[in-house]
Amino acid sequence: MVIFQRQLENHESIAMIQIEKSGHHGIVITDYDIGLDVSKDVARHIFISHAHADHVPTNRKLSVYATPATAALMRARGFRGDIIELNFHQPLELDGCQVTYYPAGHILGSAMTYIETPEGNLLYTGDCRTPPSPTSEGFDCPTDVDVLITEATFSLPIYRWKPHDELFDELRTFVRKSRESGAVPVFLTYNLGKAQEVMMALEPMGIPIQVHSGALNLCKIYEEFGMNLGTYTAYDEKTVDDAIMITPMSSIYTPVIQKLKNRRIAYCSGWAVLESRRNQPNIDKMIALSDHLDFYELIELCKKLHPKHVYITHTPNPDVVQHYLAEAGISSSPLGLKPEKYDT
Amino acid sequence: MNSTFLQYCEVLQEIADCRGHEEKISILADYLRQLDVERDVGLAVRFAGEGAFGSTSTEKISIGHATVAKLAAEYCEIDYQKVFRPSKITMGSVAGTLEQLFRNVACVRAKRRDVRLSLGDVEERLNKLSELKSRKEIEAELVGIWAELSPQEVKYFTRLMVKGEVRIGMDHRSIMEAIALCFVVEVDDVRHAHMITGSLEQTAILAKNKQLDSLNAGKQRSKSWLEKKHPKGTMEVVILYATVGNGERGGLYSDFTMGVNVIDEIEYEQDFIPIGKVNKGLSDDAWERLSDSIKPLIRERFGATMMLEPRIVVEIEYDEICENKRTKAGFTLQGTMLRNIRWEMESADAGTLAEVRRRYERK
Repeated sequence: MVIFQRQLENHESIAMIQIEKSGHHGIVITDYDIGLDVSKDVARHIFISHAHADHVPTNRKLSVYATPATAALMRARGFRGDIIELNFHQPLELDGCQVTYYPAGHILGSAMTYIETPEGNLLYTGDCRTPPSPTSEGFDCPTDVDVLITEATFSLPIYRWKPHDELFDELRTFVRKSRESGAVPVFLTYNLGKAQEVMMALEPMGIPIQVHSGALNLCKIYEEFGMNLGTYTAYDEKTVDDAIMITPMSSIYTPVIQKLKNRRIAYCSGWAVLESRRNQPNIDKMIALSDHLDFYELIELCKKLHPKHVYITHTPNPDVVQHYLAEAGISSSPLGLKPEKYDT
Repeated sequence: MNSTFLQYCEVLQEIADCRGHEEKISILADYLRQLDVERDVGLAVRFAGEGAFGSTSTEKISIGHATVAKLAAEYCEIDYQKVFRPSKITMGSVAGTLEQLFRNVACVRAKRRDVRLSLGDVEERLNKLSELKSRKEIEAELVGIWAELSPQEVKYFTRLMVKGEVRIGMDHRSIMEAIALCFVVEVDDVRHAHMITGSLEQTAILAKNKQLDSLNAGKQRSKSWLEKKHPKGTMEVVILYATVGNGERGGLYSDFTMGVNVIDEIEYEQDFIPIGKVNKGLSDDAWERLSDSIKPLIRERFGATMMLEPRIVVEIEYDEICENKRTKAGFTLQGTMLRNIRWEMESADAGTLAEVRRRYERK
């Protein structure tokens, strides 16, 4: 449990919003009975940031708030509780405070949660990306922020992403070169988010895509919300030789992949930057495509908002971020939420 | 046209990224094939398989990873302990970290000069660094070089500079296969040339010039024949022993034991004592003539070894003088090669042991 109260330099103390950790990745704002990405019934008003399993309650019968797209994705993945749909930029009045969702740019439906209270305004990023993923609703945030709770998945200056069009070109070049040498291009991505991003990048090539069964209904939801993913089907052994495969990392040693005689495998993730990841067997190409913001965007965001305090989450390595923020005159501390289990 | 170091680094990266043995060989062969300049071929092969200075050199740059890391942090204007070190630990290497920081950090990009280094330029810079002895000088030089390198180049330059290995997953055998594939020669001939020269770089150049056969024609040259223009020393010595040659030297005498003059030293009974052996150099004709002149001088036989009248004086060159307490002289001349037969000289005018001692002291 972490309860935080901060004192300004001239020893004037102000009561700041009280924040507690809850479980692996949840936060509770005790004074307002608000839970952010909590797992259990620990608060009255629970706001979900996005539909990745790490942020969705394990208790599938809770009553939560989510954006319409997040709600659809949660239901597709088995959530049976009540979801009160809340659109972006649509403020919700609660007891003594106001909550608004802002587009986070991470995956379809991903939201940042903005809580305005008399003690100050808090912004929780959930997982975010700026510049936003083309498969999301964009990135937009309010500027009047006193307390920022931000993810810092990529917390070192070795992480700076290329622009999306360059990365998408890399994806397409990989497909072209693989097919030229007679191999089936295979992309290793998670079924929600990265898979759809890759599909959108490859759509202009007009080549049929085969996805893992777990991704099919998720792709349909993306299409319902206006994203163009091209032509895709479930995995089909008979026609896979002429197609592109998109499948999770976990299936790399299954017969589906092993049976492909001629294949080239690309691993798409921000972690592709690290040499240690390059030495994985079976992977032919590493592409540093991420749906999280890079280090420089993170520092830039903090500088732009210039909050009174920043909580750094989702990284085992907050020190470097703290160092850079200190140099910019911004106070910060780690809030030890566990980093994403998924490769992103 | 000189190949740029950047193009070369991109090829190295492509090789490092791909999995297949055959694919790596093919990528390297394609690259070597489009190089016009012989020197580039040699350097490309050397850097890929033999480090910054090649297999026949003892040069090195007196700088380690830690110094490079600290200097790099300063160059990137970031705190070494707080920022560079965690980045390096996560990344896994200094070279890899430099590549990312050179790409990402704004002030580094601003320092970059608009130049394109060739492979030869890189060799010059590595040589320059190896000549500098003080750390300050090396650091100043390195900072200047960094401004000339793009991110991909800095990674491989750092690897060459500190450890020598470029880590692209190709061993010597793979590189030899690439040479064979590129210049359309037999792999066995490439291997043979490598065995004799000990240098992939020289082997590649010979392969490019279709001269692999020249090594088979009999002259076994010392490892350093292409590199060494200035031997470490020359001396006149007397031939004391010879052996009956085998194979290429069948019917000839070879493997000569050299002797130095100890006439003026009372502790030695003999006039000449052995100071090492020589078995290289001279043209085939000269070798034959030398051989012919030996026959009448044979005093005694010990199996295949002939003890000779100490009459013939030859001029030899050598790499270094080594202390060797097991020998009568206490020294041996290493890396020797015959330069000339001094028919007109008297053996008493040959080099003395005292001279050898003097030269050893001087170094």
